[in-house]
Amino acid sequence: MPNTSIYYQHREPSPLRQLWLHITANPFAMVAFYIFAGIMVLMVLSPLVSPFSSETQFSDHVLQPPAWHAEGQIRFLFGTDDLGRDLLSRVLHGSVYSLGYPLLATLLAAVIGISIGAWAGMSQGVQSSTLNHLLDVLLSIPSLLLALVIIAILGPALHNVMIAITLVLIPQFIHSVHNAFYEERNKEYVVASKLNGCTRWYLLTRVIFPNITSVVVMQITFALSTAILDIAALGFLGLGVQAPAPEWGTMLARSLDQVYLSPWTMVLPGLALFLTVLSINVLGDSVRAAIQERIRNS
Amino acid sequence: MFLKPVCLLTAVTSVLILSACNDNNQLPAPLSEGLVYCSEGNPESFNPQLGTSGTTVDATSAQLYDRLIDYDAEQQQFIPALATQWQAFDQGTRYRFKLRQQVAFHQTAWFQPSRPFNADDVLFSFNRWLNEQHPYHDVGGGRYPFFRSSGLMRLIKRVERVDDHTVDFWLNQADSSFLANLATDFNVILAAEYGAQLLAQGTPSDIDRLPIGTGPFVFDEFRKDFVIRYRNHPDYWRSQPHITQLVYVITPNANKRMLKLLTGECDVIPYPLIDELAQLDTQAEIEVASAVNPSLSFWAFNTKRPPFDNPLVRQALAHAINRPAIIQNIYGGKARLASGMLPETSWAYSAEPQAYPYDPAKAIELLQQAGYPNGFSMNIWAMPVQRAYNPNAQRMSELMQADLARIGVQADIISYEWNTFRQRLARGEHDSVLIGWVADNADPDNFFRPILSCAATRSGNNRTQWCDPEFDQLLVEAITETEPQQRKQLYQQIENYVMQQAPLVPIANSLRFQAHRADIQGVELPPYGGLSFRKARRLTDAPL
Amino acid sequence: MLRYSLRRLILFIITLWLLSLFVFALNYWFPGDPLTNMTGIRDQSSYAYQQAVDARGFDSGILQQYVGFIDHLLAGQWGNSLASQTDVFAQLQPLFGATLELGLLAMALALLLGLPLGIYAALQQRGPLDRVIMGLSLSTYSIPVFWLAQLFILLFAVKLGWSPISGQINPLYNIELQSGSILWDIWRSDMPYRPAAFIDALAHLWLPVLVLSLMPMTMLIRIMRNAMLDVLQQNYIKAARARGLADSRILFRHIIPNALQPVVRQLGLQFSVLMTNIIITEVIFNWPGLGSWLVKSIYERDYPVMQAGILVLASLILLVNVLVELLHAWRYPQVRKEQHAEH
Repeated sequence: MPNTSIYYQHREPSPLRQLWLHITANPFAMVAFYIFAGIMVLMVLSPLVSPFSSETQFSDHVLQPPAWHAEGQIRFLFGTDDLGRDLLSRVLHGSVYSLGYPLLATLLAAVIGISIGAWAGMSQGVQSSTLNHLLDVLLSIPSLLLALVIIAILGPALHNVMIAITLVLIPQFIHSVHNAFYEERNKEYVVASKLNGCTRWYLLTRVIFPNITSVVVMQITFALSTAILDIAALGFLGLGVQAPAPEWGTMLARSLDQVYLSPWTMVLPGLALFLTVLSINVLGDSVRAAIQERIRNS
Repeated sequence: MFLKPVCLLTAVTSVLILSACNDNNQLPAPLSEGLVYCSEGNPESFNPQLGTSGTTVDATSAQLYDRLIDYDAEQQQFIPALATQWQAFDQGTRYRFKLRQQVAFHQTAWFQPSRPFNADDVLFSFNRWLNEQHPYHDVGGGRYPFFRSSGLMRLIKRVERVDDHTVDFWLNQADSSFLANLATDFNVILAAEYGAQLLAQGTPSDIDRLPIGTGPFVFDEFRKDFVIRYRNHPDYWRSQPHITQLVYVITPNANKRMLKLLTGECDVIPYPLIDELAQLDTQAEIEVASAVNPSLSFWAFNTKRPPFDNPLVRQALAHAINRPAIIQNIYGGKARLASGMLPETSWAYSAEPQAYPYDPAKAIELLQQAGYPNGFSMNIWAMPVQRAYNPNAQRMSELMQADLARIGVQADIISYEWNTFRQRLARGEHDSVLIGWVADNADPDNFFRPILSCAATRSGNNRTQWCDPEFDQLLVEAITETEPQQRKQLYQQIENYVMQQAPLVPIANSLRFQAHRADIQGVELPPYGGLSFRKARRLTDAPL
Repeated sequence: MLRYSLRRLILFIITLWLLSLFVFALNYWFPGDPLTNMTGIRDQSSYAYQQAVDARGFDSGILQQYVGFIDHLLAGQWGNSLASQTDVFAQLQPLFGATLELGLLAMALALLLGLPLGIYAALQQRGPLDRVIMGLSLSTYSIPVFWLAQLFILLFAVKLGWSPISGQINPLYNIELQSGSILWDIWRSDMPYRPAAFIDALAHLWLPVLVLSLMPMTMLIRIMRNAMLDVLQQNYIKAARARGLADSRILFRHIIPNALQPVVRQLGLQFSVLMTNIIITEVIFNWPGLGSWLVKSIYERDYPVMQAGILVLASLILLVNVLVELLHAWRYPQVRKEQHAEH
């Protein structure tokens, strides 16, 4: 088939595509990406792949060590907890609480935060600067502290934790999106589009937004790891998801009662938490590196 | 123990002299003469008259206060304490007590006693809960649950001062349990002079916060959730305690308590995890003491709330719980599955078959009869602390949660900090609660009246809120009966009635354990009451 | 500088005012009676409650109530704890000292180790050690602090016995509670066992300080490294090299001072991260500080304590952030210009 393009055409890849190219060039980021994708798949398939239900109690197999241990059984690959529940099943089911719910909270917060941030970024003057100062202040207060306050008002329960985490994440999105818009707003290409008579809506969605996607992606990874850690921390303090839900932080807190004689009850949920957060952080880090590179090159 | 890396640290930061790191064997005086007890929770107050919590009793009664008489469990007799002798008159409706002379009250920064203990202090201590007009009656809530539910409040007509060191107790009727009740940990003697001083200062509530007593230890400071600090009472009327300082470190987590005992941060701990200690204590540094402390752990339903006002529902739930599994899993098999209210050690106990064997099918059937074919949702309140009768209520509630799910009942677990938990229980905010009872004395009545009677409902101690005139009538019959065999039969009748009504499901009778470092001796664990550090001492192998 | 400082201070005061509004509103959002939540007086028929109604303007409008609230807040009358009926403000001070001690020591350790490691990593850019440091820092950053603390306790306290499991000091050393900061209190006490007590306190301290400092430390390493790399590419460094200045002189006189600018700017944020972790760490190590106090008050639904904890922690974080900004602006004048020019 003959080459139909007559002229030399250089298509600049879209910012999102640039991001992807950058990630694929970095082996660490790729490993992190695969780990994260694997955890996501396991989470979606957890009802299918986990050997038991998260709440089945095998009263004859209480605190069974992992399979590779001399006393372990292959039936309970990672051992059982103090009520005889299979740890592997619990960790798999727990991913819904410890990854699925944070993901949901992050996306919700992203939608709300980006809308407000974009609106604020497009508006001018005092309004915008007041908002900025207020957000600066709000953001300096740790998200966990804010979540604790909200839980104190609403009481500890899964849906309240979701509300708390979502509310806490929104200002972060507003802040980063607002700043990104603010910076892009007066660049030449935006001004050019404006002069061309584009509507505000078009300007917002088709001109500026594609150019700040990498910022949004970075903010999402950052918010996701915050959400995961905060939900786990609340669970650990007994103020989050309530028993018997196999949330990882709650499992960790429970494991402390027998940690010295049965350390495996503590290792598995902690490791799951660590791997998830690490993969997200590595991804976020490489996104940040990509953004910096773009700024340097521009 | 921890000195090695610290020497490095100090060397790096070059803060202090290094010589302190070299003499490992010589403990500084406060460490060798003091004792650390890692308690399981905060006391409610520093006056055992106000509550029934074992945590409060353990922290206060035997340490800060004395009673008129004590009970010697080994000899099974009453022994003199602040009263040197006593005698019954008028067919047992009047008791005369001769009081001990030269008993000094504590000297502290907030109170300097001007006189030793006398009859006024006895009157003050008893009238506080007896006389509703007493200026201190309503201080601290004015509930006095022990005195109300044990019947002491109705038994004593008045207390009369005869002279400085003689008092008379006038009773409404003869009662053989009077002396036994006097010897319990709740009947402590407070300082009347201190009461007057606080009243003059306008801070009466300090009497339960900055306590003054005659006991072997003087209160020093209390930091909620962290420490209670006592020092020895230099003018104590019995022999001086061996330790100069007694510190309660509040450590609610059982596992942490055990680890701290192993590392030597705690000298004595209550409610140890026995199995785990045995596996960890390879150097035999730890000794475990146990006491036959008649106790019962049970699952109480709030019978004021639907659907638990329906006996069928309660019976169904009783059938739904796999109690043998609980004994195995929670108590490690170290407890007996309770068949009724009375423990095996009681003389009134008679072996009966289990009223509620584990039978989910039966439970579903009963629920259908009661009109709940699809089950319902409820909450189980689980204590946040360990007690002698229940080493892990949270875990127990999770076991039960799974059992209940099988019959279509969805249970939520609720827990608060221990004192908040008890306050809310007394207000009846629960659907059901996992709690228990430790006997104050050996009488079988003590296993029914304080737990299930109408009087206990009024004092907020009846966790079932169950008030049944028929049951109360049976109790009165049983306590007025003098012939033991007859009495035993009556109690059997009561047992059957309770089991049939099922306001609560008895779970287990267990022993009370306490573990301490091998170099600690003399911590007393009496069967009916709190522990005492009066004779505790640390054995030192230092050459003398 | 003066204008800038004034601007920041006014902003700080406005935020404190907003915070006070928020805390005031909390009393109405919490379940139960707002006045009980404020004062800790549960019995609504009591004389004390009636007095509080008068004193706090609860018989008139919401504005009066807010004025009353601020009045009492400034006078240090923060009500009584619902759980223990003791004065909240009196409880606060030693807890604050303990938290501050832990926080400042951890921050100091993070700076002391984080900055040199960051510099080192930048100088070895893309070398094996750089990769090790960066990899380690990213992983450490991802470890949940409650897991890390437990692992450390198991390893250092239980297995190795290098440190006690929890607490501030062996409680048998009867240190009089003054500031709440244990080292300071030992220093000020006049008991004969001061050296031994000091060593014991350090043995209790180092583990929580280490746990706390790891997270900000890893962040500081990364920030410092990136800032160094940025500065290294600047023309004035090339110019300095061209003039033949010694490498060490360039490093210490030109690169590091300039690279520190983003680090100083980030210090406030790092302090906030530290305060998040301190809440959990204090609970795990049974440290008598604000964090464990706050968490326990949430367990106990102790609203007067809860709002005091929130108020103090949030104000502390805001204050540190303002101080850091002022320091930043004072040290790096170009920042002030930027601030004036645009926003």
